[in-house]
Amino acid sequence: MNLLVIEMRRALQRRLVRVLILLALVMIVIAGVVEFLASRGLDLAALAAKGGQDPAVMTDWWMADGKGDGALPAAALFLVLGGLLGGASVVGAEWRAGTVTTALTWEPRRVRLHAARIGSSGILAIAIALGLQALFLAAFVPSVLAHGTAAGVDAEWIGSLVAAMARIGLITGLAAMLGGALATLGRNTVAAIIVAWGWLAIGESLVRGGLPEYAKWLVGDTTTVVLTWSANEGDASSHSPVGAVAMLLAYTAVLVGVSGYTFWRRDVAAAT
Amino acid sequence: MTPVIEIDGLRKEYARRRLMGPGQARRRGGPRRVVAIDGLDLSVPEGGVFGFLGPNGSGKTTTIRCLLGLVRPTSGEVRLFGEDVRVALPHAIRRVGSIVETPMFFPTMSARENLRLLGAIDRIPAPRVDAMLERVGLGERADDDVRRFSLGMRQRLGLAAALLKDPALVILDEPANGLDPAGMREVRDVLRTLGDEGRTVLVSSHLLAEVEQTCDRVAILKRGRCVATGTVDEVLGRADGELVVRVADLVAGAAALGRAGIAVQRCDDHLLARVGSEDSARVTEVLAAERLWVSELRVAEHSLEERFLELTAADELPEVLEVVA
Repeated sequence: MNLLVIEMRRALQRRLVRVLILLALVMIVIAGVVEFLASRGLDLAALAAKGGQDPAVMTDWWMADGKGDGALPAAALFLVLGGLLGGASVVGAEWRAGTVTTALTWEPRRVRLHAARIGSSGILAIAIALGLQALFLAAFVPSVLAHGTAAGVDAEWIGSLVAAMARIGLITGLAAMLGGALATLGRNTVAAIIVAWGWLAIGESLVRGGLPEYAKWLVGDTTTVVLTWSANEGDASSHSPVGAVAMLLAYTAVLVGVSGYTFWRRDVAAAT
Repeated sequence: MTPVIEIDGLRKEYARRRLMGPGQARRRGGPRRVVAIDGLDLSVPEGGVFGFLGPNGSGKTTTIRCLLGLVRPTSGEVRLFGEDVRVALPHAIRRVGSIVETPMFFPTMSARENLRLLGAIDRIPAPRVDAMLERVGLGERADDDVRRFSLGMRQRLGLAAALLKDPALVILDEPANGLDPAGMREVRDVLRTLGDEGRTVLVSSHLLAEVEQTCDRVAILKRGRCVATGTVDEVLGRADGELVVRVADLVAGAAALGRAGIAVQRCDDHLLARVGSEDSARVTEVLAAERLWVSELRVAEHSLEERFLELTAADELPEVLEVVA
């Protein structure tokens, strides 16, 4: 536990982590102000008639319709990418700065150190993601109170919103752990980000286009199932939400395990 | 008494690519692996300052990395405080403070934050961090980011980190790198103080004059093997007994001593007779009998640098000079 807390303190001292959080806060403020200005004179009846969405309508924050619509899912993409980048940076920076050697002369149990480092990235990412989501939604409260409506908000909707926030937090945490694991394998932040982007943006697109029957095994499709908490539309073989969570956990566990094995096995020599 | 460090038959091979710089390609047909340490045996007794010397690439840093569990030996055994590092390192490391090559810290954190985070692993209280920063002369710069530190200041910070655990064994790899003369003197004083406190200090260095002044014992490595080990006096040959003999005719003098059964080596402007100082009278007697008048006769004293170059310059590996009493 001590090592986990230390690694969290270390991660929070990372400049990139602080910059990412600051950037998110700035974007939240901007989103709140823009929405407040844009929602002036909002015609709720016309909006409803068009089937449009607006964060000044509180129930549009999160629409539990199986499509992942609403303001919250739009923020999820940034959070997950931020988690991936932050996790990769926290671990990759250790290699870049050469501080892995220093850390190992204090805690030579590499598996323990790796677990603490990856675990702390995941826990921090979840906590930060939950906090930022709360602030993001809070930024729309003035628009709701001044120009919009909270009609339709009930316990069921609140439960659904909180569950969605928790799932986005979980996905962000897993992304941070994956980023950290990739940075451990490549001993480099940039390598981790390139590999992650290469796979998610190019590799998965190719598989989805060429071998659609395997799409349900892809990280992107699985993440969508977890986020919306419903099987992918039009894909009868799509995993169930619980199955998709299990898959994401399994992918993360495998990658963290493989990276932990290489960290345990490989020398930490000057040439690295 | 159990040695603090024991190394038996240590061998470490690296893949060649790991040792090559960017853009360098392995020669076709060249060896795939490079031997960094080749059957090293070493014993470091408890207490005092032990100098670990060798030319670049002789295996000093790799040996230190093996001691600290950073690299995995190909074969051989390494023991710290009598325990195999493969098993006991997590326990033993609590008593070991170390610097490996240039000490690495987070550049965007202050010296104090860096040390506090390290110290937190062993639950070392914050006041001790401050005390160690003061001890190495960084008290006033403790809140500056490490990225603003010179190499010498990073070395000091590394020393502070190494001392943070109040270690029984201090392992320092080139601790004087980047230090100015005043800084080197401070490090020398710190090492000597640590040795005098009863701690064991293993220090690798290229600064042979510093080592000669600071260390009680030394080991000299060449191509991954130990070629000499013992007290500084022993390794320098002071205990062997060599006399510098200066006569006008070096050829005749060498011949006369040789005929008398005294091993002698002709140098540029003097002879080196391999006898103890108690035999100096015999040397003068032999030479006087041949009407060769001695203009200088003294016990030969090598500097560590001379001895180091002598032991490490030859292409062939010398037999290990075991001068341990």
